[in-house]
Amino acid sequence: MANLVLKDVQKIYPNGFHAVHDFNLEIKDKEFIIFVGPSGCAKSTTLRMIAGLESISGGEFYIDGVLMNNIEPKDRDIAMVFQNYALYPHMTVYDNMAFSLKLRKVPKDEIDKKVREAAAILDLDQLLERKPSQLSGGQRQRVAMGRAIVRNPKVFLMDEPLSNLDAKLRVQMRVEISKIHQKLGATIIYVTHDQTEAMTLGTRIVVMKSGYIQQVDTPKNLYNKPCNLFVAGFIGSPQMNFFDAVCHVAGDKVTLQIGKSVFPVPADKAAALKAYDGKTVVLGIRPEDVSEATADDIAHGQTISAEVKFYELLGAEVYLYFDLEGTRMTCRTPSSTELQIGDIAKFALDMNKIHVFDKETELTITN
Amino acid sequence: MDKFQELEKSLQQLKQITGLDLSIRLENDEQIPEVISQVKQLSSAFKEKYNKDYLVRKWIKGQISSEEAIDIAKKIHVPIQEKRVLYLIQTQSEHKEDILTILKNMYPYEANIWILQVEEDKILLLQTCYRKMPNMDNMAKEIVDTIGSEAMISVKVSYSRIIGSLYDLPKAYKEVSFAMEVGTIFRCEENVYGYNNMGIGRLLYTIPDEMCRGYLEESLNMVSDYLESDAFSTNILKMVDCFLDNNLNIAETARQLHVHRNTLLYRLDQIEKELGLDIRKFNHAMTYKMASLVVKKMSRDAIS
Repeated sequence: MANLVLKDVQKIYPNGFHAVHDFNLEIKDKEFIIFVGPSGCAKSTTLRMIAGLESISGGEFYIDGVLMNNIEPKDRDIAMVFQNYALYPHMTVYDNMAFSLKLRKVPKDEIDKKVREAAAILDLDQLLERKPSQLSGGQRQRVAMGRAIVRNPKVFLMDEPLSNLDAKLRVQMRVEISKIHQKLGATIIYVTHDQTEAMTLGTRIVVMKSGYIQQVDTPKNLYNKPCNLFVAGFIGSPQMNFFDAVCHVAGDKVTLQIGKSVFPVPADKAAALKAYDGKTVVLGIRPEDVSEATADDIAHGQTISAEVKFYELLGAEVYLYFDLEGTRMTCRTPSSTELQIGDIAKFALDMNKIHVFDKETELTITN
Repeated sequence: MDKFQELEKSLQQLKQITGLDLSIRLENDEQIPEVISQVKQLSSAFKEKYNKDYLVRKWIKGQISSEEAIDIAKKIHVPIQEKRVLYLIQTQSEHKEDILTILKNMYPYEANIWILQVEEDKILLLQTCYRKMPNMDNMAKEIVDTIGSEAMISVKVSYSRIIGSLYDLPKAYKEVSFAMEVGTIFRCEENVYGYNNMGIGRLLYTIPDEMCRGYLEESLNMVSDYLESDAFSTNILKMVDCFLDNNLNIAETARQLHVHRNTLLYRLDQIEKELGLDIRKFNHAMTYKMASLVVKKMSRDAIS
């Protein structure tokens, strides 16, 4: 069992640099939590505070109800896997995995049991006598994980462990890590700047920016219900389209005007926008919710006319890029489209899928 | 083994270690144990003095002359003219022996890499670059991460520029010490500092506080409240750093920081109101950058 609680955790460096602000999070046993955010958002710093490799400047951190702030890292029952791991070149896989246990003076027979158990979980049983130079990149990465697994910790911390791998291997290892989580049933906190990695691995995701938590939610909710402009822009690839729109309220009816085009807002979203009459808001829409207009869309006049500036074929689908009121827009559409660069096309927005943000606070008004 | 064989063996060992070929004249057999003891002492004294650890430890601190250092290097067959990089590993942890064990196992081929503890909290690693140039930054990160994961110990690593001769070892030691000192002031949130990547911090570190204070007063008309100023809050510093890194490009900075362009412009206007510096202009951006670094240096001094 490992329940983690972080209460108002802060990190302030000696030169005054305030890296982490009021970090509040409760992590339940067996959760796979992802810290994600752009470079410099303090996700690794937070992880290192949990590990004890960085001191906690303020707030409290508990594991299973025990205050950890002043507990030595080695006594926290935590294991870490980093991006820049090094295997011991002269040792076999077995000895590499056993090394940290030897440092901790664990009895030999116990080491043997733990190494063989970890090797079985990682499918390394047949490779225990090999040296690192005889392993592939993925196998080496699994040995690095094995070194953490043998400790049988309450919590695994992983700091961008796949960043040094090539794209193909990264996808394979993502699957492996997911399997390991299921087999071990352990609590894992995983740091990445890659939102695809975050979405595919995590049971919950913590989105961070400039040392602040922006939103903590399931991958699906983060995608469909981002709480602010930052989360909406960070989660999802290609990025959500954003542009300014003027809100008009007439009785129960609310419309959003983008340039000369006027779009009626569905009733379930309209109520939240009533206070914004005459104001400019930020309208967000995901590329898959922008489509080539159908005859029905054209008949209702709810379309945008624009020239296709770029065309990116990704196999099953195509990204079409066009400009709307000076803002670059992306439309994600099946590759059966006949549109090409230079074509003037009509695009429709699925207004049921729009996200509207306050221009000043950047918080979500409705989605 | 009889006494004569033992004496013969100890003399051979002495020859191996020192190159000295001694012949012993004995008046009686009873002197043999005493002679063996003296020969062994001579061997161990030589070993103590003429080894890599002794050489590096004394040489970097100027406790032996360069002539003596080169003499020792020749005696222990260390090539003088080789490309080398020095790394300094610093930790507050009490478990230094674990760090040494990990390092010695990470780099088990001693011919390439020497590892030694020079002070209570400092370990040096001298790498010889035989064929290709090492990626020093990667190696330093590897050290930080491996020690972190294997022993759960936090370390910081600095590294020197590549030196071409053992004569330059003291210079390399100064570089790693300097990089560690400057790095912990200007980039204390990081764990790896290359002497070649210290940027302007290298220069600012050497400026006396009084001059720093004078600079802030002159350029920003602010001294006493520099720590509390909103314009130097973490978020604004981070935003401006990103803006400067992106060559004052508003759109790119907004994209990287995931903020709206107008938010960025609003914050830049705030700084202009507070400090009179329009960071969109190159000269003002330069002044702000310098001031922010001076503030960092002075914040550290104030705290320490």
